Amino acid sequence: MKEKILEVDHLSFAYDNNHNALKDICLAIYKQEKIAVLGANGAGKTTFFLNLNGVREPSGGEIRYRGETVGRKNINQLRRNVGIVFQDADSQIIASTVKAEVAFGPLNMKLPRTEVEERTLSAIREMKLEDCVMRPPHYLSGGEKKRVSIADILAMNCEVMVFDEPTASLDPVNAEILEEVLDKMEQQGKTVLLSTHDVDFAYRFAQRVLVFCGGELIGDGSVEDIFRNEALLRKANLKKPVLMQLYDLLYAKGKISEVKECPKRISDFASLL
Amino acid sequence: MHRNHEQITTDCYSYLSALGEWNTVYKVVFSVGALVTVIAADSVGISAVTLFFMMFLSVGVGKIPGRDYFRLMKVPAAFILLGGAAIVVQFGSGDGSLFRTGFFWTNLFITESSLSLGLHVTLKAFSAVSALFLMTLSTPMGEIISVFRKIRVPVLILELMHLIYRYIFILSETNQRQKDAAGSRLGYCDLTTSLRTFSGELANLLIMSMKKAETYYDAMEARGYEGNALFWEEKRPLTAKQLLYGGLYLAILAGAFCLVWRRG
Repeated sequence: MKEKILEVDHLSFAYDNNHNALKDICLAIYKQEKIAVLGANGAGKTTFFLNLNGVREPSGGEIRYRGETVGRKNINQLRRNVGIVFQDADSQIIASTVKAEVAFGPLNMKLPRTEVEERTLSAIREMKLEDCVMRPPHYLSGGEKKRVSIADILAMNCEVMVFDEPTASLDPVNAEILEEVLDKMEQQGKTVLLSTHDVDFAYRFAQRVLVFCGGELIGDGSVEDIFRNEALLRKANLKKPVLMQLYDLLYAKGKISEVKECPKRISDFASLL
Repeated sequence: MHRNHEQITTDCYSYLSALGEWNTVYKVVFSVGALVTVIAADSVGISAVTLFFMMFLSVGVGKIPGRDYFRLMKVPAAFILLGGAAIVVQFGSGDGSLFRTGFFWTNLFITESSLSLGLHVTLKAFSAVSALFLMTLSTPMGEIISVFRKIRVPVLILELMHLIYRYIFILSETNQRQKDAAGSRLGYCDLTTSLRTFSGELANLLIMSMKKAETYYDAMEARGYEGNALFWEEKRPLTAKQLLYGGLYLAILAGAFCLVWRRG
């Protein structure tokens, strides 16, 4: 049986101007799941993530972490276990060097100095930032800043990792480094949630897809189910992944045989031909 | 090192300097000590020795390119030289002066004492600036703040210093982007348009900075910030080599003191 980590129960959230950014969201997140959160701009993805980490307090409903309702008293326990990488790295990076920046989270977790340093350097290595350890963040490129913001969360070693549009503004090499890190996280038993507009990336990465539209959760299912639902894709301003489109096209022309699950990588696809 | 400004900044050198590895507290005490010595000694000899030794440390040992060092010195130099000139040149009848020239209804003149005082003050000011340059060109802001923490400056002020330091670069980067975007759409084609564009940019910058501040706070909270921002401070050991340079400076200072004292 799958281990339930987070439960979102009738979650609603409204900003000051009474605009309902999230409406009655209900779902559960299990250990080691890889979830892609899709939706148009302003659909509520970021607000959902901020609620998951406890940065925003729900206007209605509740979030339970390992069965325990999250409130002001145990909010830090949630933050220790659910790490979030913000969309704009510049809004996340606060310290004056890369090392100090990555160490910020572990220091707040009140870990011993040796462990803070160990975790910090390990996260820096993992994100291939060894050349930038003592550099100030403002002298880094956009891709490097993004990698620093990811290293921030890796150093906290959270159980659930949330990435808000991690591939936005990344060049292919940096995107590849990110995908390697995501694969490693899966091997380490982490639960990963990420929002993206890149349906091909989501298709390759995720086991489960959540679709948001106007603050509502309008789709929650396996990758195949979601991307086969044309009406849902239209409603959420989404498109079918290229590999799926190609598969459908070739299958319709009889050039390819039917498979149980459409291939997710080009190499897998090539083996079908 | 990537730079987000066209000009390489003082801040940038502090990360490039070979003195970056020096013990931070020692470096700050050394620079501030030299500054206090120059002011307290009020001697041309001490000022000259300090100026050359500080330049030697920054350029020779710290490996900051000499040309860049003097380029950075230009701004304080402009103020110091103007100040020095104001002391050297005097108004009045100018009897017994070294040099005198008519200036409207009065005279501009230089006396031996005004020249001596002007040169003395100028040298002292250059020397003090070189001492501070030693600190700023070799110590990143984060490390200077760590020294403040050690001398028990209130945490709130230190946190603000950290955040403001980071924020300056974010805002200047945002402003640069706005400027480029406006410029690309003829936002600076004439004076009136430039003024209008500039005021729009400032208004935008204010709103954006407020929004950014909010996200910034969220990001800190998300990583366990509970009202006391903890920043990593690197431990830099004090080595014999560093002490040797300190000793050398003290020895030269002592020599200069002796010379000054013998001359009366």
